[in-house]
Amino acid sequence: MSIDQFQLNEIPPDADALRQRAREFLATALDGTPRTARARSWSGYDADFSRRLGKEGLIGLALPQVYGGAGRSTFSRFVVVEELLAAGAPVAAHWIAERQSAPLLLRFGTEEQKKAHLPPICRGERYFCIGMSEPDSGSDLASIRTRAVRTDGGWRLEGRKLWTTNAHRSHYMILLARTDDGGERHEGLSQFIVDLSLPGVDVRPVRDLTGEAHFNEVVLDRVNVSESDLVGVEGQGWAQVTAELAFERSGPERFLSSIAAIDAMTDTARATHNPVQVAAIGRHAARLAALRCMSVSVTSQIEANANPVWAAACVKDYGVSFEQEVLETAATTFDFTRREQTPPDDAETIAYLTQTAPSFSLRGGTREILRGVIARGLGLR
Amino acid sequence: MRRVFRDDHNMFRDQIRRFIEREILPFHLQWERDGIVPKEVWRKAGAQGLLCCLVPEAYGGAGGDFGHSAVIIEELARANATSVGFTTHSEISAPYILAYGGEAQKQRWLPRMASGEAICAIAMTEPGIGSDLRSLRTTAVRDGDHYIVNGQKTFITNGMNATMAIVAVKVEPRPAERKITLLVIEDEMEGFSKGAKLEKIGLRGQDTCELFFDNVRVPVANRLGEEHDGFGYLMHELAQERLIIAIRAAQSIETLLEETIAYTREREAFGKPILDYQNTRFKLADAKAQCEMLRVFVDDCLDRLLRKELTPDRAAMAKLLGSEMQGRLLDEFLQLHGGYGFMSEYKVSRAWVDARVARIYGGTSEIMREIIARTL
Ligand SMILES: Cc1cc2nc3c(=O)[nH]c(=O)nc-3n(C[C@H](O)[C@H](O)[C@H](O)COP(=O)(O)OP(=O)(O)OC[C@H]3O[C@@H](n4cnc5c(N)ncnc54)[C@H](O)[C@@H]3O)c2cc1C
Ligand SMILES: Cc1cc2nc3c(=O)[nH]c(=O)nc-3n(C[C@H](O)[C@H](O)[C@H](O)COP(=O)(O)OP(=O)(O)OC[C@H]3O[C@@H](n4cnc5c(N)ncnc54)[C@H](O)[C@@H]3O)c2cc1C
Repeated sequence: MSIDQFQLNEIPPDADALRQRAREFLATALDGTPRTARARSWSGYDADFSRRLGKEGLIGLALPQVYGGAGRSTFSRFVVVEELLAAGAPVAAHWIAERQSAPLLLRFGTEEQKKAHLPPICRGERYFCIGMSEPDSGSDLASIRTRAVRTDGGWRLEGRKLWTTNAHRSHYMILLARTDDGGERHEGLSQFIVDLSLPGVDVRPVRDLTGEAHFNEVVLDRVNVSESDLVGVEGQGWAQVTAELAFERSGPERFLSSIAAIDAMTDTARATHNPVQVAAIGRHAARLAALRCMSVSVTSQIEANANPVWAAACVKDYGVSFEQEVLETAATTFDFTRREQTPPDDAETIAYLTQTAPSFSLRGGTREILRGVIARGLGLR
Repeated sequence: MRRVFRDDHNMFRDQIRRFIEREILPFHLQWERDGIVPKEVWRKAGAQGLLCCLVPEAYGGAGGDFGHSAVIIEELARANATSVGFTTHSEISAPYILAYGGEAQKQRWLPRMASGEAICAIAMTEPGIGSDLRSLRTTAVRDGDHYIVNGQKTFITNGMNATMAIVAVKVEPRPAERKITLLVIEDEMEGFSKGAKLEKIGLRGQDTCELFFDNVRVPVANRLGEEHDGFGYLMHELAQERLIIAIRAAQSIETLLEETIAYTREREAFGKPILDYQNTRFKLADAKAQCEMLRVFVDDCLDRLLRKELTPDRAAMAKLLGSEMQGRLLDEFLQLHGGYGFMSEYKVSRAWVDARVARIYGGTSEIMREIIARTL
């Protein structure tokens, strides 16, 4: 790997043309939404909004038309996602389904699975969650213990998943389970589509340190699924999961999570003209521009069917550090505690994001793991 | 072995630890949900000598010194028992009455504070004024044997439970002079009321609220010390208040470092404990070195305080370094806990949220730097 993985790429004009439409839609749809709500970024859940977005044809842009998508490029999706996140739209309901589950099914799913799931995903009506991590396995995903055992005409699932974001508000889970104990540890893993309304599935919300419950513990107690719920090839779960990682780690959601804080700081600096604050905004804007170029570059590799796991890890590591540093700046360079000068909305926005910030370098692969991936790509380990 | 503590301090520590294990820890989560600690707990703490331990026995206290206070502060910090506002009551408020109150005032208030029947708050901050205390706006007008008090205070720790508050006011007609007077305002006084509990990101079990004064008639006999001399009193006592925050920070870092070592030793990824990765070992080694250094400095400050030699700038250094280090290191510890670090069930996550305010209250980090800078 080397730095020339990051070629300067431009968003093609036809994709960029979508920007205006997305902006117009969002201006009406989000009219009157306070900054505190926008601060939730891709954790903001609003099924009604997802359905409206689906009606507008802005979900599934990169999915084929036969499955309800728009049949456009990865870039088109990038443009719309960027607009959604910049505006702080509540995208959480359909987020995982569209970002991760749909591309997975498109690539590895059966025709039946694609026909069943992709159209409702594109309509913003069907929601998925990711069942990978377990109480004893996070970074070391291959050590998972949830298992799937063959039965007559299907599989029986048994185990526990943890930190499953939005499981309590999703219809299906893409589950990673062990189907074979023999052999090398990365072998013998498989993926399944699990209907969360099945008997034996118990979803228990877990409180995070902000006091909210976005993630869950999901217990699978002798859950029976059919043969047709296996995704891709039995025993190929690891390769399939790894293929998702580039989608998951390189998008604008890895550097726009604290955009609401940047907006609040920019508003303040516009009013105060305080040179230290103005300089801080300038510094962050410069880094944001660089991150965006990196993200566009990875998008073009995904568009070309490459698997840029290394470059995606670079984007995520640099991006989440940026997201966290923005909040450090808010604390050290801005006076959001000064009640008479700060709109209460902004103080709450900063407080909420400051509390959420530790999760940025944990979710989707910890900082340490990403640096390991980057180091490996450089031939260092 | 820490040289600043004597045997009686060490024995006191065992007693405190048992009390916390029995009377505080099992209920702490519930108090965080309620946003307040029941008054009953205060009376139990009073009976066990946890309140006003540095008040002389003649006034109902335990007759200890600030070394005993430090033991309590450390033990509460070790348990991350942030809901109980004992320290504000015993180590911040009571010393004002001891130092500046007359004999009759001491007899009247201290025994009830030591038993936990009375709960005391200290009210300086106002909606528009925090760091710049001298420009506060709550006023008192002399009317015979009384002052008529009008104004508003905010962010007041123990506010809901408080039966009395030491309130910083300006006595008319000289408000412009930036001189402050301290009055003790009691629960039953007409025109004294409390606002709703404030929603906070951390310290969720603390009943922080606003206080309102609408033509409250306060007897002149409730004045602490002299009229207009309050700012000097505040400045004098603030060194101790800041050391409290530093002591708490040092203990919190030490405890969570131990937790993190234990956690990373136990938790495995890729076939070996997280602690066996050099990145983890180096991060924790750095933390250990900083933790030890902070401890030695804070103990030295404590020793100076006990000898009445702690200067305001030194106390500011301890508060600045302690609270900033706490913020940074707890962040590292949370990261090393992985996803568990973000779950409210884990001690490190709650301690991380609770620690944020240490850089703000008792004087912000910026104000600490100002205080230190003035001596350069
Ligand atoms: C907000 C949030 C949402 C999440 N949503 C989901 C979800 O929807 N679905 C899902 O499946 N999971 C989800 N997760 C789980 C997340 O992917 C895991 O928390 C993450 O992968 C880390 O795993 P762990 O928590 O087990 O930490 P561990 O693997 O136990 O790691 C503990 C610490 O050790 C470090 N470490 C581990 N291995 C090494 C190494 N080789 N070298 C150096 N350091 C190492 C880690 O970086 C970390 O600091 C979510 C987590 C969070 C915080
Ligand atoms: C949980 C909690 C409990 C509290 N308990 C009590 C209590 O019991 N009693 C009580 O009286 N108060 C209490 N406080 C109030 C606390 O002491 C104040 O919040 C603190 O002094 C800061 O004042 P402020 O909030 O008005 O901030 P401000 O004074 O408005 O400061 C805002 C920002 O400006 C910076 N700033 C201010 N002046 C300067 C300067 N000269 N140079 C550079 N930067 C500067 C500050 O550092 C800060 O970053 C509590 C606060 C909290 C959060």
